[in-house]
Parts: sequence; structure tokens; C-alpha cells
Amino acid sequence: MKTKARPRRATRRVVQAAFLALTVYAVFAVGANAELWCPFGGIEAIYEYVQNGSMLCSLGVSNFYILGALLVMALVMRRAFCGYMCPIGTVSELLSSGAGRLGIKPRAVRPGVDRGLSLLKYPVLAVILYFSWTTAELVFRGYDPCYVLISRHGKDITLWAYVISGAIVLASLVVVVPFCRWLCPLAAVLNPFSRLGWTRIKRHEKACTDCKLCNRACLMAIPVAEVSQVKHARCYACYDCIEACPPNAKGSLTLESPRAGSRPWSQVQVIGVMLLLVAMAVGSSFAWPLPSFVREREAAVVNTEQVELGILNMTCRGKTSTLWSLLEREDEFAIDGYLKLEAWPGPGFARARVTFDADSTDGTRVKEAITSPFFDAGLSSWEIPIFEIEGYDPYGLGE
Amino acid sequence: MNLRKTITLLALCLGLSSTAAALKGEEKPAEFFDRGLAVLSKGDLDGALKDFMRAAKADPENQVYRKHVALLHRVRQVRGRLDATAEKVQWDQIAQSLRAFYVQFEVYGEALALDKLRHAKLGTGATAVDLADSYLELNENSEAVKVLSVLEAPRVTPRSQLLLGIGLARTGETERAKRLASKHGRPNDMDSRLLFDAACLNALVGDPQVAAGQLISVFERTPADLLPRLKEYSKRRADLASLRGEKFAGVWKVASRVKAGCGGCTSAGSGCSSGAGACDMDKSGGGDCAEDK
Repeated sequence: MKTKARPRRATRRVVQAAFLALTVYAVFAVGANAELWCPFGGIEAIYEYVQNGSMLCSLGVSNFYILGALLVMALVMRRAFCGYMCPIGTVSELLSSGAGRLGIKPRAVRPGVDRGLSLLKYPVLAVILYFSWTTAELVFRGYDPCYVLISRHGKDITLWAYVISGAIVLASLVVVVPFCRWLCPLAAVLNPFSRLGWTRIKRHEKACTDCKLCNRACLMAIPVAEVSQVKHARCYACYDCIEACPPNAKGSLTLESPRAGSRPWSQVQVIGVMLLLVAMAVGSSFAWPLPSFVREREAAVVNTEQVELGILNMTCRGKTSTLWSLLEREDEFAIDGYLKLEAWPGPGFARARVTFDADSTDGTRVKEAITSPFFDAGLSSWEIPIFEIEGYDPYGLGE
Repeated sequence: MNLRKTITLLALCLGLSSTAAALKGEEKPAEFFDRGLAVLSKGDLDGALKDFMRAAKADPENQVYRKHVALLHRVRQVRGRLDATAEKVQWDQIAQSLRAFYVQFEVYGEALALDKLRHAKLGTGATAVDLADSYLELNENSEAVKVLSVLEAPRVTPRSQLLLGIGLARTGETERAKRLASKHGRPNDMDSRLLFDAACLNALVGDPQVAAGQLISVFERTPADLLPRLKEYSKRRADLASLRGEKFAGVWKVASRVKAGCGGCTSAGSGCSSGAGACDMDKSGGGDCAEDK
């Protein structure tokens, strides 16, 4: 029997594969800090950023931009991110379809059970946010299945991360996208926005033959055939239901805006808007790179100057805090008066901008404060800052 | 050209180049660095700095060499400030920082000279303890006993008594040392240095079991990066000779329980004295960081 052609599903698979490949390439080939582009990182960091102007650990403001793009995306076309871009969703779907080819049939979950399980994601989100916000640390990172991938087995990964990943893999073989449906904390964030989603699948009853193939095609178990409009927050805008319509019911399902008589959205439009939003988020991260660490010493500001520095080993928030404490040292390298540090921690020579009182100090003293060894009277030992400043060679070592 | 000829030619080239390098007397960066440490242990800061700079220039990527250059520069600055400072409190702060450097690098001769100066100038209980500590490191035990025996309350502290006990035990006055050990040898204090001294005294007066427990406690609360040096120092310390046997092999296998943090500094020094470098566990807060991502 000839299999029905599914060009839209194939298109979606191509987009999913492209994002997964991009992630894998960036992480493993380039060695990039992919965590900077994790939208959930933006949720975890937002409280600390609003309170103290500082991101958690090695996150950056790019997390906020990408989160913003996803929220707008959800407002326009619901959880399209989950259906096209999320690496966990992609892997989970591939596992389900791979299991199907091996003859493992996906188990149907009764609607009531599905509804109950889908509520689990909210306590998961609440627990993660409670501990992340109160401790200002990414406390659950070591358990995060996504972090296993993007950190290349980072040093704070726990065995639990692999246990959870293994459980998701196994569950994905017998149930369609279980993590995405029931446990994903990012889905819990997106859902309220997705609920208000501007576009929705409309069922045109005149054309519909009531075959219910759309119900079976829906990854998220939405009863498409029972409603006139799919306003469900969990809709992926994936077009699988539209594509499932038999030829004699062509046009009975369309993705449209709420206005009556509006033109249906093509899948290319959905992908185009999605890529545009992501591109805008990435572009904004470079165009308006807000510092991800800000600390300021209150003092009367009279005459300030700034020095821009490239600093080696300022890789995360903890290290940037140490750098700030060096700027506040109390020995002969003490910097008097007003002081502000804006930093963009990261690998290699990360950027920092120090604003100081030009009447009492200068750029060289700022550099000395950051790099000169100091005596820790409490520990009775000499400490040597790990930081090096690009182009600053006070000892004439040259390179 | 066949394979055998090619291999022979390559081997010949390799042999010639290494012979030429040996004849030229080329030193490797690590050799400069080790020589710098050796020179430093004799108290020659300028000579050590020259060697560290050579090592750092020869291997610019090596951060250890660069850090030693930075530290030596800084300590030379501090030493210059000592003579120029008249105010006593400030002078003592500078002297203490210098002393810490000498102790960390086991430059005990310099530490002793400085401690004599400090004690003559300030004459406090703390300066007496530091002076006695340096005497003990140099095995001038009678001098240490002399300094500590004349201390009177309130300048007598648990540490002064422990060091006095060590001095007495080393000079053969075992009974007096035992009395001090029974009175001060089991400090509840979480100060690692105090525990280390107590371990030394207990080992000297024939109570290695207690000493072993105390040493384990010190090792556990020492940051992992400093622990190998502390263990190496402890193994060299004659006071702890009774813990070197098979019975106490487990002591030397103890791992640090101090969780690594996200700090941005490294402790200097090649050696730890009397538990220096050890820190309290509660000072090591902070989660692991993803710096290596």
C-alpha cells in the first residue's frame, strides 16, 4: 500500500533537524555556551536580574531576548517552538516514530489521565523557580536532561540527569512526547501565552467529514474533531491534523487568525514568523547587549570615567562577584569613591566596563586592583587573582 | 628512498637536534621554575623572580608561572613598604602578610628574622607564638621553649601551649609535654591550625590514634587544591613520624570535603605550615560553576 505523502510533516522534520543539528554543532564542534540561548534560563534568572541586575551563573541577557521571542511566538502561533525548535521535543518525537517503525505501538492515555498528568508541569515549574529564585543559583541544572546535552556532560551534572534522560527516552518509546505533554516546565510558562494565541486551527464543519483522523494525528491528543476552533494552549501549530484530513475533506481544517474570512496561514508563514522572531532575538542580543552582571558602589558622583576591559577567566557570575570584590579591596590598591562594574561574563576574554571616580583613581589602578595578589588576613594566605586583562602586561612578560 | 632509510634519517635528525640542544644548555621552563622555587626557599626573592620570569616568558600559556611572577612582584613591593611604615598597627599588618608568604613558601630563615623583629617591636602573645613557630620549623626547639615559657596570662593561648608542648617533647621533657597534651591536646576549636598542632603534640607524646583523628579532620577541611601540599608537608614533619606506618595508611588517603566554589582566586605557595591554607568548611560556599563550558 502506498503511504500518503506528508510534505508538511517532512518540512517540519527538516526544521526540527536543522535546529537540533545547529545545537549539536554549536555545542560539540564550536564548544559554544549554548546555555546562553536557553529560554528557560531567562525564567530562572529574571528574579535575580530584576533584584540585583545580575544573571545566574553563566547565563546572559540573550536568555531574556530568546525567552521574549518565544512568548511573542506563543501569542502569535501557540507552542510552535515545541513543535519545530525544541531539541527535547525533536528527540522525543523521533524516538516515538522510530519505535512505531519497530512495531512498538504508542499507548493511548485516557483523556482524564492525560489532563491530570499534564498538570504536573506546573508544580515542577513552581519548585524549580522557588529554589532558583531564593538561592540565586541554577540548583536543578545538575538534573536537567537538556543540560546533559548542551553542557557536554558539564562538571555539575549528577547521575540523576542521566536517570531522568533515560526515563524520558524509555517513556517516549511507548507514549508520544510524554515529557513535553506532562512535565516540561517551559511548557508551563508558555501555556498561558499560548492560550491567548492569535492563530488557531479552525474546523469548517461544512467540509468536515467527521472522520476523526485529525484526533489521531494530533501529538498533543487534542480532540480537534470535537471543536470548531482549537484554542488549546498545548497546540503545536504543527499542521499534522491539517495534513491528516482525507482528500474528500480538503480545506476542512485551516490555521487562521480569529477574524472571520481571514486567509489561512501556510506552514511556510509559520516557519517564517518563527525564524524572524528568533533572528530578532539573536540580533537584539548583539545590538543591545545589556550587561549580565551589574554592581555599583553608592557614592557622590562628581567626575566619572570608564574603562573597557577584556578579562580572561571571568566566566560566570561567581567569578565576576570575585572580580567585584577585588575592585573593592582595602589594601594599597583600594579604589576610592564611586564605582560601577558592568560585565558580560563568558569564556575567553569576556567584556567588562568599569566606571570610576576620575578625581581619585584612573584606569591603571583599576587594572592593578583586578590583577594584583592580595593578602587574606582571615586565611593568613596570599591569594592570586585568576584574572588577566587583555593587553595589560605590568610585568613585561609579553606574548 | 625506502622506509628503512627514511626512519634512519629521521632518527639521526632527532638525535642531532637533541644533542645540539643539550650542548647549548637549553633549560626548559619547568627547570627555570623549579630553580626559582629553590632560590626562593633560600630567601632570594630577586633571584627567584628572575627565574619565574624566564619560565613565564618561555611558556607564556602557563598561568602558574605568571601567577608566581605576580606574587613575587607584589611581595617585593610589600617588603619595601615595611621599612617605610612607622605606624605600629599598619607595620604589623604588613609584617604579618610578609610572614605568611615566607611560611607558605617555607622560607623559614626569613620568617624567623622577621618574627624576631616583630617580637622585639611589639612583644605581644601573638608575636611570641609566631616566633616560637619559626624556631620550631627550624628545629631550634630550646629557643621556642624559652620564648613560650615566659608567657604569662592573658598572653597564654591554647596554641602557645600546644607549641610549648611540641618544643618540650622535642627537647626530651616528655612529662611536661604530656601534661600540656592532656590539658590542651583535644581542642574543640574548628581552627585547622590548632588541630594540626594538637595532632603533632599528641603524636609526639605517644597518642597517635588521637593525632590521626585530628589530622584527618584537618585534611578534610582543606581545599582540594591545597591538600596534596599539606599532606606532603605533614609527611615531612618529623613530629608525625608515628603516623607513617601501615596502621595509619588511611590518614594519608583522606580526601578534601571542601566543595569547590566559583571563586576567582588561587591560594599561593608551595607548602603549608601548621595547617595554613586549610579553611573552615563554611567558608567555602557557593555552588559549582560551569566555567568550563
